[in-house]
Formats: sequence, C-alpha cells, structure tokens
Amino acid sequence: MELLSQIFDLLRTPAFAASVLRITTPILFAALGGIMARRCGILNLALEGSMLTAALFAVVASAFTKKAVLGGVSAAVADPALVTKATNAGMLAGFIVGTLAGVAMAMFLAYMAVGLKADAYLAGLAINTMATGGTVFILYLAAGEKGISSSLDSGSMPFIDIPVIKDIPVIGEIFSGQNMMTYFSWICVAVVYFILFKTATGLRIRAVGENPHAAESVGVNVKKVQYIALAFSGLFCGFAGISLSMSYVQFFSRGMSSGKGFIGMSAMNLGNASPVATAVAALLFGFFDAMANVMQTLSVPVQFVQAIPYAATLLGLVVFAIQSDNKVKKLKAKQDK
Amino acid sequence: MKKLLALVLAGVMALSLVACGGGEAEGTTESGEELLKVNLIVQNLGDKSFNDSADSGLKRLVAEGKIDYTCTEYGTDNSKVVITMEEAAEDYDVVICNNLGFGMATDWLAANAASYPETTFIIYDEPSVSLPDKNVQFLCYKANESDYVAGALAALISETGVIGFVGGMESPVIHDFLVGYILGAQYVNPDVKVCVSYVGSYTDAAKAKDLGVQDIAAGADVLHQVAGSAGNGYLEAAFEAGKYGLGVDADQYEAFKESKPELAKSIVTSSLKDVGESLYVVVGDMVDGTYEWAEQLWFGMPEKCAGIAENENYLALVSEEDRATIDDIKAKMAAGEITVPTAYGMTADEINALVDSAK
Repeated sequence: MELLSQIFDLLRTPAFAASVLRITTPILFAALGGIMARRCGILNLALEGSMLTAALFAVVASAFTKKAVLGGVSAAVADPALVTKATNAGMLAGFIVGTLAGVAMAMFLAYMAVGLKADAYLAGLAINTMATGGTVFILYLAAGEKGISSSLDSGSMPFIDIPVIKDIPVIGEIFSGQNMMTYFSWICVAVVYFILFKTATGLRIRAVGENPHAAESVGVNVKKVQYIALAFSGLFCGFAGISLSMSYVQFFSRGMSSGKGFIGMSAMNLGNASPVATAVAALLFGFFDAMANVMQTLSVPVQFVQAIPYAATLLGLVVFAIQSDNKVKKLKAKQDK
Repeated sequence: MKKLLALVLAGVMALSLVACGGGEAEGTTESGEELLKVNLIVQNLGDKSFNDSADSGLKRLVAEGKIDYTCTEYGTDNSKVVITMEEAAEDYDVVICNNLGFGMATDWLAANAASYPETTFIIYDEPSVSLPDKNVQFLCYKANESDYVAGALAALISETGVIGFVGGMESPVIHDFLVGYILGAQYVNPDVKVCVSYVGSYTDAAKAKDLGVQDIAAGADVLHQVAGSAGNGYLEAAFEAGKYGLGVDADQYEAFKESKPELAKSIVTSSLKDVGESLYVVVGDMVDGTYEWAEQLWFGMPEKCAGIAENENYLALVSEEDRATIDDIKAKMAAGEITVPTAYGMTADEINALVDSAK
C-alpha cells in the first residue's frame, strides 16, 4: 500500500505530466502516419524504418547546412548573428529534408505495394530491415561514424514558452516550454481529422480503404488515392523522426527509434484508425512509458517496470478485440431480427 | 512483374546486409604473411565505447607493423555468433571478442576451444566465466575502481548532494560500475543520494534523456551514464539543465569537443575502461613472446586501463582542492588503504541494499 501511495505521489507532479506529453510526441506522429495508411487499406509496417531514416536525414541535413552557412568558421568564434542565421538555416533544412526522407520511404513502399502489387507486409518489413543497416551506412558516409552522430553539429527545433499559460502554476509547467514538435503533433491530430472527414480527398481515401472495387466503380482512381494517402503517412513518419533526433535529443544514434514506430502502430490499432481515439491511445502509451521511468526511483524490480508499457499494449489490444467482437455480435443480432 | 519485384526485394535485403557489414578495417601490411593474424569480432563499431576502443588499440599495433589485423562486424543478428567465430578460428591466429550473444561466445569456446589448438582466443570484459583451456584468455577490467573515483568526484562537485546514474541494462558489468560509483560518492559524502535507473537498451537515447530530466527534477546535479550510445541522451539532459555530466569507457569530452563544444564543456570527466590499452599490451606481448596465460588477466589503474579522464576540461571545471582530494583517494587506492569491492560475485540483494543505502 505504501508503494502505491509512493507511485501516486510521483504521478501527481507536473513534471510527470510534462514528460508524458514529451514521450507521446514521436508515438503520436507515428500513429497518425499509421492512420493515413490504414484508412486507404494498407498497413504501413514501415513506420519504424521511415522514422529512423527521417531522423538520420534531418540530422545530416541540419549539420551540413549549418556548416555551409558558417562557411568553415567554427561556431565558437563566428559572429553571433551569423551563428543564429546558420542555426536557423540548419533547423529549416533538417525539418524539410527529414520530412522529405519520410515521404520518400513511404513512396518506396507505395511503389512496391500499390505500383507493383507486392505484399505490403513484406515490403514494409524489407524497408525496416533496410533502414536498420542503411542508416548506419549513410551515417558512415556522412560523418565517418557508425554509432552516433557526435561529430555532426546538428540543430534542434525550438522550445516554445507560451505567453500567459507559462505563468499559470502547474498548467504552465505542463503545457509551456515543450518542444515545437510536441505542439505540432496535436495540431496534426486535427489536421488528420480534417483531411479524412472534411475533404474530398479524405472521403476518397476512406472509400478506397473500405472497398476499393466500389470506389473504382464510381470512377475513383484507387492507385492515385493510395499514393496520396501513403504520402501523408510518410509525412507524419518524417515528423516522428524529426521529433526524435531534433527535439527529443539533438543527435542521431543507430536504432534510436527503438520500437516507437510499432508502439505508434499499436496506438493506431487500439484507436481503430480514428484520429481522436488514436491520440488518446498514444497518450496512454506515453503515460505508461513515463510511469515506467518514474517507477525506477522506487524499490520495484527494473525488469518488471520495463515490461509495463508492453503489458499495457497487450492489455489494450485485448480490450479492443473484446469491444469490436461485441459490436459485431450486436450487429448480427440486429440483422437476425 | 513478380520477378522484377523479387529482384528489387532481394536487392534491398542485400543492400541492408552490405550496409551492416560495411567498412572492413584497412591496414594489412605488405609482408602480411609473417605477421600474427588478428581478428576482432564485434557487433558493430561506432559505439564510441569499448568496441571502438578495442579497435583503436589493435590499430596501434598495426601502425607499429606488429600484426595483420581485420575487424569483423557481424551486425545485430546473434545467430551469426557461432559461425563467425568458427570461420575466424580457422583463418586467424588470434581471435578477439567480448562475450557475444549474451554468453554464446564462451559457451561455444567451452565446447570447441580444444579443437583449435593453433588459435588463441581473447575474451574481453567477461569476468563471470572462466575456462581451463590454455588458448582462451579472459581480460577483465576494474571498472569499479574507475567509478569509485568518478563517484567521489561527483559527490565533491555536487552542490545538492544528489547525483544520478543511468545504466544500459542490469548486468554484472554495469553493476560493477554502479557499486564503485555509490561507494566512492559515499566515501566523500556519507549522506549522498544516488538516483539509479536503467534505460533497458543501449540505443534508446530518447528514454535516457527522459531519465536524465527526471533525475534533475529529483535534485541531481551530476549525471553519470553507463549506457553506451543511449547514454548520450542522459548527458544531453545534464547539459541542457546546466548540470554536469560524467561519461564512460572512453573520454567523451573528446568525442564532442569539435562538433558540440558547449555540450562537451558540461562533461567533467569520463570513467575509463580502456579495452584498447589492454589489448595493445596483451597482443603486443604475444608478438614479443613475453605473454603468459592466466585464467583471468585483470586491468586497473596501474595498467592505465582504469581511472578518470583528466583532460583540460577536468582541470578547468574542478577546483584545485577537489583535485587534491581525488589524487589523495587514488593514492590511497594504489597503496591498498582503500579497497573497492567488486560487483562480480555479489548477490542481487547485496546490490539492492547498497542502492537503497543511497536513496
């Protein structure tokens, strides 16, 4: 009982709530990428590899742009105005190139799965395997290193203090001072909702996902719609990668996605590809991940604590399966009447 | 169409394999045949830690023209451990690795070392296993001594009396650091509080950073990472909060000095485990014919394989008084007045009790 109250005390702090938001960010982006793919009828298994690749390209582009703008002058001795300019240019380049890398990976998947009609699962797996080794290979080419990009001076997306809110106790500590990508991820939830349910493209994406033959019969170009949906999926994977290597930390290290793409996919499944429910599911995973972190300060076996997020994933999937099973039963009962 | 697809997929797979194994070490000499053929087997280089250290130690021997050296990177697929070792055992005079695949390397040696009498195997950083075979040499490191000094330093420069420690995974090797760290800190400040956590992997830098932010929130102002490349996230958390970081294995100040000077300046020192130096000595002795087998060869501060990095940043950040205290502790360790217990052979309960004593 004492342990439970200790845990409860830890979970009540604003710092904990802030860390939940931070941890949720890459998971949420990956989950949004998963939604766009799933809605067009393709399971994007390559989320993990796409975000890893995006994370690498963001760091490389950012570092090289910064270096180019500085023109070979060391940041320590250069004119402060020039350093600011270089930092901003690096940030922008990292963001753009990281995003493009995410989209490129998704387009590769689209070409194989939609263009060549390969099995999307296998293609996704192949992309993940390729990304695991390929990122190290490219890192070696770009930086001469194989583990972490410590020789690259890459940038970070800005951390934002929200006026007014930052002065409110507790709330300010939780919601202000987060990285731009964290706020952006929640804006993207609304964006995905808007695209899917308020635009013609969204309607086509959903129609193709529900029944491609029906969509085709009314003149929808199924392939084109799937390419568009996967491009969006890659876009969010790109953001996920940037949120890892340019906001969470400011470097790339091999395998740094560490399964976050798959956790994002679980969140998407748990939320049944609905933007709002998926965001809640992603937040739930972020919560359990953060809880596993704080519980390490208590006398609980580490192995048990580290299993919590995964146990939560399993539990979530079981609950989801039972729910959808009940829905199907109800529907059948209605039809039988 | 299907054939084309199969080709594309095969190409993709092949590329990833090539990428994993890319970058064979250069440096075979012209008169290669007469030289001792040495093979280092690692998962991957680039860890800025002991694999890179081992590689650089052997490259020093290559530069001196003493050995013919190749590094094999087999990637993360541990099912390749045995076959990689079998091939190396047939092709090389000396095969060097750590206990790959969570003990697969020593399991294989226990059964097969006798079948390769011409080959010498060197296993570094595995003190929990020993084999009677005279062609298997274990090299062990007194990381507890390095971290005793690091812990003492952390407690000295901490203003809050709270210091942090993050490990990659719970294992005897990491515990050995931890035991030294806590005891060293307690030697200086008996009331010190040590926040101990584990990332659960050596790659999840984001998680390590979260753990760092959390330890800083708990009051820690010196953060020590023993978590490979993930640990850099922990150091970054210290830097961003204006606190101090302590690196591990190699001198991490050097790694960031050029690219991120501000971050580098927050890394006061690193707790050293110089695998490269030990291999340089042992393999060098083999070439010179002065090598003698022992079940375990231990490397500590007198052998320059343990201790802390005393670079320009250390001199700049640590006051003369504190440095004198550290030197005093090192002198006492050398004289045997302070003996640092090792985590090898300690039970989990004993380690937990130690961690709890600094909570």
